[in-house]
Amino acid sequence: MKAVLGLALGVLTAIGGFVDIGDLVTSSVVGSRFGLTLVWVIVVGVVGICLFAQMSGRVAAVSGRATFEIIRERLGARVGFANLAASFLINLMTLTAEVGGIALSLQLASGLQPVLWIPVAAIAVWLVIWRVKFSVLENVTGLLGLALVVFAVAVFLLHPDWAALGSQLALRPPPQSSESAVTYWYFAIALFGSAMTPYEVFFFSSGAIEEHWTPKDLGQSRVNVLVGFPLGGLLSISIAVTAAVVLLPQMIAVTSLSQVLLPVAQAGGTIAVIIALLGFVAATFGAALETTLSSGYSLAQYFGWSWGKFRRPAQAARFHLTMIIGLLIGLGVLLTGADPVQITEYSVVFSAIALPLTYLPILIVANDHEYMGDRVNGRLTNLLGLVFLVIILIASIAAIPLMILSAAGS
Amino acid sequence: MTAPLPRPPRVPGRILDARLHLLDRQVLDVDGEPVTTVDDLELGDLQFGERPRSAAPTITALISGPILTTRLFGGRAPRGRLGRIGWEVVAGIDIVLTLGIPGGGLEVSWFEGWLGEHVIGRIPGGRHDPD
Amino acid sequence: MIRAPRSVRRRWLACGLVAAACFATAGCSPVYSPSGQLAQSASDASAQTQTAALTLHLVATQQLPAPAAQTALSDATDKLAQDASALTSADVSGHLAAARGRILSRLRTGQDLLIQARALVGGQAGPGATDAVVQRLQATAKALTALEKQLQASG
Repeated sequence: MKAVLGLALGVLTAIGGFVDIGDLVTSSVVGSRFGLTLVWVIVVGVVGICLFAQMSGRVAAVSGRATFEIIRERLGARVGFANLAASFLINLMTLTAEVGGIALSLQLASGLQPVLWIPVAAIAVWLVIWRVKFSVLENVTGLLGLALVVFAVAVFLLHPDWAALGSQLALRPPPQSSESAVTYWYFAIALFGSAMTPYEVFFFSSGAIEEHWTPKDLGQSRVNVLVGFPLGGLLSISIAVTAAVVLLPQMIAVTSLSQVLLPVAQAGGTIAVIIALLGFVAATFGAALETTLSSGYSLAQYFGWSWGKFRRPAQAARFHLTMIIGLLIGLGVLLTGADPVQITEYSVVFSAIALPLTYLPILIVANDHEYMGDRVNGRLTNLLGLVFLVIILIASIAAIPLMILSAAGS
Repeated sequence: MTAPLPRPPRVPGRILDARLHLLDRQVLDVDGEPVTTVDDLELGDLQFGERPRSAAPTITALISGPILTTRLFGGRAPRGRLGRIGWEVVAGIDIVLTLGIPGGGLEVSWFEGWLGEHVIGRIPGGRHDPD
Repeated sequence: MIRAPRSVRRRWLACGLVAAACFATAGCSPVYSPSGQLAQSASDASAQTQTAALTLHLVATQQLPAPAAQTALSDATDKLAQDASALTSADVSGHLAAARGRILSRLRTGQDLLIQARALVGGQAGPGATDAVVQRLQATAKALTALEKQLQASG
């Protein structure tokens, strides 16, 4: 019984924790401008992240080392540094976007200006990282994030034209959408980057060490990933569908977080809005915690510092200092008045650009007998891994030209 | 038909590749706490920065410090800024290097220790046991 | 100063050429042309005005709480102001300047309606008072979309 509860908790946390500000914004933007013609990208992205999260979780459980620790050892200081630089900078950008997302969600709930909420959000994130136990932090934000299921419910409450939605899924563009092919592929890459967030994988493997996983826990992790992430992906898809059903016919292209909420209001009224806002805050707060921790993990693991919430903070001083500085930088950027939604839109595209640097090492390490013993990747995993590597490379190379050609999707 | 390669002489001990097995490896102290990563090696009877001459040099220390920038971009770091872990304290070589002494007193740990004492430790809750 | 080896220099040169090519082709792309930029502003202004209409409608039917509605309207106001400033600073002449004038005048109407909408939300008005504003907002949005389509057809 306890095992079943533990399993359920893991899965539910994975579902609720899947969506972050990148998914919220990008899915809604895509639904409002392209209908459901880009949903296939979410599916591909979910398969990809399942694959790589599984690999990095297995590496951590079997070898007892987190992915970033191994990257420098196995691939050398230079490649490791390139990986670190790319991951760290993008992490910082994503962190800023998430903290901004918390502030925007609180603004929607209270009506008060985000500039008031930004310091509150940053301090709250730091306090939770400082004092709250890792598993509690994960489980609470994950479970509260399940409130976003209201988007899935909203889809049905809106009584959509299922035939029209079906034809959009089959890649026939809806009549109100007049976007060019260049913009279509630019947003495909953005959506892909929002699903395959690089920080997720580092967080996942470091989290395995934080919770002292052994090979016995691999079964649980596999279920969490293979059941939880796809269902989380369904939440992203629901957000896109609500936007496609309500906003697209009225030609409202989403540019702010408030517009993401409108379809839910139309479907279920004030109660649905309150639940959705709870989901927004939980998702962005959870993701802010994860990105902050990831920035600490990546730097500490590369340089060999002691790290982890399982240590006394004074015993992992540089790790905690990194996170404090990261939050301060995010706070500073947001206080200049930068629009968190725009930061989000850029962060997902840059995530997509950095994907090859962040994912290739995982594929290599998961095949290394020295760390994995005989639990290296099977042939199917390697085949899928290579297929995704090709997809990731294409997306990464095409991202900047498409960004320039489409003027960042405007 | 080419002649087969001569087999290397069997010697006592382990044969290690310095680059593969020592460089960039994590160093843990006797309690399993991380100390640093190995950035460079100090070779005996060679001054730091000299090129090896004839006989095989011996490793006298692990070096850690801001040597990363010079490894990436070239040049040479000033000797004073590098931390040194004498080879004599290395207890085990595996996928990580283990020392036989606690990491607290080492040269390379001074910054972590200073930060822990004076910055992080001063913030309320900094010395609390993680629950 | 350390010089990068020749292969690395060649790689940077290649990247630079690709980037230059992108910028060159982008310059010819419709998105960056003056009429493209006007169309873009018109399209966004239309979306913001339509958002305001939807928001006000949801408030009137009591489906959207006031803080969220105020946030949505304030976001729309900010974005309209950005569109207005992008339009006024656009470097256009001739028939494009005339088109810009028409778009700006509709946009100003939208901004006035938004001020009325925010007052209505603050005062907890019912469906009767808000319907008129909602319809005028929708009409403004339609007009802006029509102007955008004209620009895309001619430009």
